[in-house]
Amino acid sequence: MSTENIKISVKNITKRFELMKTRSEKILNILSFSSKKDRNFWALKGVSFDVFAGEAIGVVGLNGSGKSTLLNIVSEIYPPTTGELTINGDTSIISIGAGLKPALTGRDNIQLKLLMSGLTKKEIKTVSPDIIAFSELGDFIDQPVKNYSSGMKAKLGFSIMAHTNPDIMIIDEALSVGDSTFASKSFDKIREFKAQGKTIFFVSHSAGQVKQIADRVIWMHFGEMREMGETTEVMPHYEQWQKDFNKKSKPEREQYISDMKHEQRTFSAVDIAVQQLALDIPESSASRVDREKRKTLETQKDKLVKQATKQTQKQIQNTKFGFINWVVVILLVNLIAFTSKTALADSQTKRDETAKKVEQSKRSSQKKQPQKKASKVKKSTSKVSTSATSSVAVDSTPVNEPAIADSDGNGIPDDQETDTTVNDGAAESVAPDITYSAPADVVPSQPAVQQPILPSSSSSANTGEAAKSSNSATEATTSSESSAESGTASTSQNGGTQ
Amino acid sequence: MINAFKIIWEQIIYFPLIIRMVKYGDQSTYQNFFLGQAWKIFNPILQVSVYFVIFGFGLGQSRTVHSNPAEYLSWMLLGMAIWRFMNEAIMGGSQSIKHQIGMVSKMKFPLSILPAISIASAIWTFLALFILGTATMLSGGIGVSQEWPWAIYYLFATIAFSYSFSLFNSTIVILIPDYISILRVVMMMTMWIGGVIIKIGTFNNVIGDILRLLPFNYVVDGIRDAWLRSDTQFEATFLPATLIFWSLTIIFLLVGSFLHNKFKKSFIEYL
Repeated sequence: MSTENIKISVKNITKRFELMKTRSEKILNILSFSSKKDRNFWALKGVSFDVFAGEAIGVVGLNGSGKSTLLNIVSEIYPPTTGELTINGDTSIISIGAGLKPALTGRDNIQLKLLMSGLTKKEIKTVSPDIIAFSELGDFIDQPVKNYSSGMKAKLGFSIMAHTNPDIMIIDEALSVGDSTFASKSFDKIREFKAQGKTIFFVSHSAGQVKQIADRVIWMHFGEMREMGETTEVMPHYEQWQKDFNKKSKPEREQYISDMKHEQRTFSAVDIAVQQLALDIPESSASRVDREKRKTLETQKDKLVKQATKQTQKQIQNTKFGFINWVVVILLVNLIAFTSKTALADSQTKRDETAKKVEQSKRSSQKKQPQKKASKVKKSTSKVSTSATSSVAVDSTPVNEPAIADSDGNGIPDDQETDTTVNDGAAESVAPDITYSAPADVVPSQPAVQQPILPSSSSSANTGEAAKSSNSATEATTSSESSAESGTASTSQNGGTQ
Repeated sequence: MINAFKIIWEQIIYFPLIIRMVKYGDQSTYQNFFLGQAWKIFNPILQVSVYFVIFGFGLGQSRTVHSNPAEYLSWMLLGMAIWRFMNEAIMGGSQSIKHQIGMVSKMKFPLSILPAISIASAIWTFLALFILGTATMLSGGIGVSQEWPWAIYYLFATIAFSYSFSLFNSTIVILIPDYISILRVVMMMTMWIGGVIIKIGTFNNVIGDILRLLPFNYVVDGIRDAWLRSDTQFEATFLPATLIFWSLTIIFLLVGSFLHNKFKKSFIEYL
């Protein structure tokens, strides 16, 4: 047969299961953070074969010989540990109850499976009567699948699969549970598929079934492919071996099985790894160089397997977090950090502004009340000067503020810190000798200087500080002006609020 | 980058399949209940009415922050619509692959549309609450805002964020089983930090500022801003919040699609 018709190509496939006690251990092992070698179990120890279009392949073997594992790997349910697998075409697997939802009725399951295979509602309506008729379920079709017997589930599963038209059908012991009439009906269907050039890959314990439909047979034997060939050739060998094996005494049989299992545990895929990595091992130990090479390879056993595993994994998980992804992610993270920083600083300044406005309105309302009475009072000028200095103190803080902000460094909470320091500074720097006229001169100039910086300055902290300082400056002017108007304000209250 | 585009492309070409799966799922999920799909609407309404009584009347939210109870109710319903939708979409989408993998791995089915199916089936909750909120608004004498087309944008934004976040989560949930418990707690908290029931704008401090920038508050307050009445506080931080929202969405999409593609062939081994 030509290579064009190869449907499934399997090369040196191995499958290792880690027999871990807990799930977290298992996951850590898969992610290769930790590995315990003594718990390995090699369900497949290097299997190679090709399957061509229009063939029916039967897989036979004892329980636990790796038949199901092989089927699962071929149907891509899980990936092989090492080796290459190529599949040309759509696969569809059927095992007892595979992909059936137990809570749904048979009819709903048919609908769901067909939907998931991409059929439209109209197509489903035309196909589903055929499926129901083929499945021979009768009235049970409207019962939940959890109430079905295993034979009924197998019938339903086979009926659905037979009508979804896959290129490669994979059947996992499903036919062995059906009765003989349904089995013969299914075989007719399988022959029909074979005639259409479809590939059938199935597992069965029944030698009769295998002889009936298989063209070729794979004999799996404890993780190895013991024989593969025409049905007429392999099946007699297998049956003969089974007979011989059953003749042995019970302890002998158990001993044999445990020996084989032990071999599966201690197996290492070195030879296969070497083959896969295309290293040449000198067969003969003729020269000393060859011998040394062989020795080094033997010492590197585990590394070789790991390397091969990695290579297979690379083929399977062919994705990398590329350079562009890194760049984009880093840029976006920076963008988030920057915008949040700016936004937080902005809202902080706004809050300060509103807080001060509230304070100011409070203060002015407080002032207006005593103003009427205080016009008579006209206490001493010294108190006026204190009120003036307090407003001057706020005014003078912008000069100190950048230094405070710089020393604090970055971010949001610092705004509040600086806020408190501003107030502290105001309280501390009550200097009696500052004259009243001084703030009026300083104030108008300051916003004029700082406002052009506002939009252009990129650093968030600076923007915030600048905005705040200008705000406080303007606030100070207004307050000082208002106090100037009032002249003899009740200064004790004024000082208290600040 | 290419992975992410591929995944988005898959959503587009399999869109009919998503719709069909949603329709089917709606039928089958509520099959065993007497009231059927009505539960999808009853459940959120019961939740909202409890919150309305406790927060609206008990804690006086409808008097202090909002002008009247009808306004508060419609305000809460709109926020609840988006939040319930997001919560259901993210929780469902994050677990979708884990729950379906046994069935899906045995047939040819695009795994990346599973979160999308969960998101799409959560849309009914949104519609029910949204329509209810609009009805309350209109009966309370408040008209739909003139900026209503923006509501479509916020819905789209919610869907985009939900998808990329669930895609990211769906792989992590399989790798780290404990993650789902963390996610559940976090999603429950987003109702409070997202300002669904209590107005975040009333927090006049740094906490309020930070919460206003989070993606949850962005969509919750956004849809209110667009549909109910404009919210100056929300609009003040609109630009930074938008930038943060979409940056997070893209980051989750990039990392999520990378993880998804890396592990999708061996998902079943991790279970």
